[in-house]
Amino acid sequence: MASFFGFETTMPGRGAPRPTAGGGTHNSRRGGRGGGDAFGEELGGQFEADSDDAFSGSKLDEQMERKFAYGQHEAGVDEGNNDINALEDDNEDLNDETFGDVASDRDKLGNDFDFSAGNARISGAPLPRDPPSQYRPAGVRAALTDDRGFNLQRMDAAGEAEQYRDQWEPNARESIQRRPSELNRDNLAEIWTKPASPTVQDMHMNGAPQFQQQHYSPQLGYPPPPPPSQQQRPMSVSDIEAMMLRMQRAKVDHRHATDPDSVRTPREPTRPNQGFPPPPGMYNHLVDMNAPINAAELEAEYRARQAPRGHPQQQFMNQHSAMAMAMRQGSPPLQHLQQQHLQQQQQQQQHRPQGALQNEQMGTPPRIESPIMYPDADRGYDDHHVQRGPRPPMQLGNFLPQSHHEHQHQRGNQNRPMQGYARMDQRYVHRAYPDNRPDIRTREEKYKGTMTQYEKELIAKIQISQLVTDNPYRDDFYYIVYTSLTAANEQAADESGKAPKGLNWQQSLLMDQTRGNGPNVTNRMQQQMQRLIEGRKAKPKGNSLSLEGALGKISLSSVRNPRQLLQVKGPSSPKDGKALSAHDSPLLTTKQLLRRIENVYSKVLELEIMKRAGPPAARVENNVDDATDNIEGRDEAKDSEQEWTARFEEHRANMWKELGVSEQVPLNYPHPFTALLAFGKGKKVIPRVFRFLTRDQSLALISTLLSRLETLDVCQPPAAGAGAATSAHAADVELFMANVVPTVVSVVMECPLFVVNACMRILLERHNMVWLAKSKPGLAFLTMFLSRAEMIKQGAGAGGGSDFSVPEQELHMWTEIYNFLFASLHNHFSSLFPSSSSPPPSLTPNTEAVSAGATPANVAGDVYVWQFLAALAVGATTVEHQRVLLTEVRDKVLETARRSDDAKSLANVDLFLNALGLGIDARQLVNMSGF
Amino acid sequence: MADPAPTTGASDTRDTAEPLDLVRLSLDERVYVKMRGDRELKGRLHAYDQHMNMVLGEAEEFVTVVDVNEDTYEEVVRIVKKEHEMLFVRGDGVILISPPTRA
Repeated sequence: MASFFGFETTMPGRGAPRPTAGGGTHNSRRGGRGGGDAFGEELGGQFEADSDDAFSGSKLDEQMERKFAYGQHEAGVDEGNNDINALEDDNEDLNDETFGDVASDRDKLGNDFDFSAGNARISGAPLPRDPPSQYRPAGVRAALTDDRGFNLQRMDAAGEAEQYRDQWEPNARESIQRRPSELNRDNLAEIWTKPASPTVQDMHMNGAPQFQQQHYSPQLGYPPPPPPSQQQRPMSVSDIEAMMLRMQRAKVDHRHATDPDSVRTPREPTRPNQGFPPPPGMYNHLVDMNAPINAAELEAEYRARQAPRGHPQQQFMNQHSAMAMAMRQGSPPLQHLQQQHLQQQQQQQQHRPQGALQNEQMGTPPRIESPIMYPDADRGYDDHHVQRGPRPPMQLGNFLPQSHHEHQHQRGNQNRPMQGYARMDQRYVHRAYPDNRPDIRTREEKYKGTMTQYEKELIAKIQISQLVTDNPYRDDFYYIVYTSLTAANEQAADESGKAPKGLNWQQSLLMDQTRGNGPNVTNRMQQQMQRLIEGRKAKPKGNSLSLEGALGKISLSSVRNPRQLLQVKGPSSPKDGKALSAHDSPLLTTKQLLRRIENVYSKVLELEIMKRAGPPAARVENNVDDATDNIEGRDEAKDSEQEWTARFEEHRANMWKELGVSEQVPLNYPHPFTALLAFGKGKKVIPRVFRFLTRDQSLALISTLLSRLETLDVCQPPAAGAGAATSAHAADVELFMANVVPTVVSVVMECPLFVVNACMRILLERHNMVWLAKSKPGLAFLTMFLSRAEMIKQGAGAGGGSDFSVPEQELHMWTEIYNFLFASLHNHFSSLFPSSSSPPPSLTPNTEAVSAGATPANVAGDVYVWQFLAALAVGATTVEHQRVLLTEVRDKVLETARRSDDAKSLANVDLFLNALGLGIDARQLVNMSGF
Repeated sequence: MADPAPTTGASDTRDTAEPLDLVRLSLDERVYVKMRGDRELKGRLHAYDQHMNMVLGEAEEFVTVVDVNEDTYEEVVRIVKKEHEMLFVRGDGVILISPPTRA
């Protein structure tokens, strides 16, 4: 690292101390930066020169972007006919020429260059070597021995530099304009003869090595760092060596006039054959060199200039530039940069009152400086950084096909947003200096451009391709349902939102972040998205070795296609099943029941999917994104509807079979259907099952249920004692009441009276009414039928399709049924209340009866009873019925009414009293009772 | 306990075609899950997948902690119980799943 530091010290501008924050008296863009450092300014000038004559830098930007954007990898790196390669080889050739030593060139390129671009930053492993002495320019040596004292501080003649630059700025643009006119060395020389025209000077830097040497002659006001003895700041030997090396390199580049067409980016890290010397003379015809990398360097420089001035920062700046140097060692552009820098020094010198020096320079061969074209300081910075060496090993930019390369030339100096790893570089540069200022950039700004557009699109495409699915309801059920549920809200919410509906961020990115922002571009991106999705769908899932665009080979197993670890064969031969004697038993094992339930669920889910999708005819066929598409529906085109119906019926039949409702089971055996209802999930599936049952099936199910109520666990009285079991039973009952009963009610409420009669007959014949009425579900069913019958009788309940004209026979039968029911329950009405029948509170730790018979839970339990009684009262055929009813529950009414604090129970009582038609409420009753 | 042997059903020969079918039968039931790291779970099985990732509702977690007395090297075993309304269990920590025992 020591040598690095020394090396940096010699770097003009980089190592220059900046004691005076220059007072820019001009309004140039440069002035805005406030750089007062002479070195920095010089470098800036040089920088400008680079970016100028290397509009090539911009071109390179374009090129890189194009590569990134389109990701073409066709261009082989090693192909000789590739322009890039040719240019690069040209570079090497130039190096060879300059150094005259292939070996040294190879050393530089192959060894010194930091391919990973990271080592230099961290450890600076490849140290710049001291070139052979014969390559050392004489001027450098002279500079080293210059006695006038190289005062770094003195060189910061900020104001002068700024003035100088002011002069050059407009011309810089001109030079850009002139770009297409290929200036060769001849007309450069021609131009150079007009010293007053800064434009030409700005544009092109031309010079033979010998001239370059003269650049550093001691007569120039700004020689490179003097030998240690004369320097104010002590310099180590390595410093000097580094400086000399730099000079040498500058010499190398010097002779390559910047040609507009030379667009070679010295992205050495990406080129494996970098270190090998090209065939001698092979590329001699290519004399044009551009130095886009210089721009990057200069950006760093510019950055440095923006950084707070101060000695401690100098060190870091030096370090940075040294590292950049190391990364770029052997790369002509850097030398070119330095060369330019020196030239600028010269030119500044010209503006100084040192006439003698000026005169001396005037006589020199063409020495053209090109001030930087700085259309936008930051932008330029970014652009050039794109071309900087430090890119990760995977260079997307490598893949530029020839055509793109050509095209890029035409693009010229267009401003391009910074892309690629330029931000990284920038951050790196940022870090290189102890910038104590708070980073005012927003988070977005900081990371903007970290990924190129192509990279973003690549990622987005990969992710989208993973998202695309044939059956969203299967693969992404919750998201689909969620979006469908929230779609309405969102539609109202962001009506103004520009993002199209139903797009995830990847799609939005691919559609929004188009280079242009016209509607056409958006449409094009949308079409691309469609193609992408379609292509993804067309592709067989999961069994391709590599996904398009995936970074490397992916494994065969995926989420959708997991690697099979187990090969479990189910019993394939039917004899396995027959072997079990349990086949004959009507009693199903628990596992069989559970399996039935699961099968029912499966069928229900299938049916729900099919129903959701609807018959194929009703579907939008061409909608690719149709979430309701499923495989079955799409495959069949014409007869699909019939097929769909057939499949639906098949599923329905299967479900019905699994339910086992119609199985003929002796009455003394538990019915499989009621056994299913013993499970919570069995209860829960009933409402969903009912949606797919035909009317006959529904009625069959209900009749089966009613006839088998006794085997239903929820109808059994709760087990006495054990708290957990009781509460579990209560939960089961609640589950039943919440799922099964409402479903049955919804069916029954549309039944004609004869159905109600039939159901009631089943109940009356099969069950003990007192027992049934004491169970909550039984009571609910009774209430249901009573209500339905009453509604039919009053002609109000005919909405469900039943005719108003109820046959007299049916009415008569209903009356009989009612009388029988009433008679069955006679003398037991008051015992129906769970609050009176429940055990003492001390024995029931569950919540149902914690305090004596009057807990809210108990009252809630009483609600069903009150409702039942009310229904019974309404349907009372004789006054005698009502009188009996009131007499029996009188105490209960009074007891409840006295708990006047409970509005709910009072409402229950009122319901019952109203049903009796007494026209009196509970409170009045209490008062009448005189208590 | 989970019986890995597939019991062929009466009417359908594919009662439990694969071991995970047993887990399927335990859906919506309170299951016992033994986990690595001296943890046990009890909860209502809402969902599972082939990796034995599970979603348990109303889950109780029992963590067996062994405290070693630094002086006497006595080991004190205590069980920490936690309750979770809903729990996602990653399958790689599952040792066994036991369906509820029914009478």
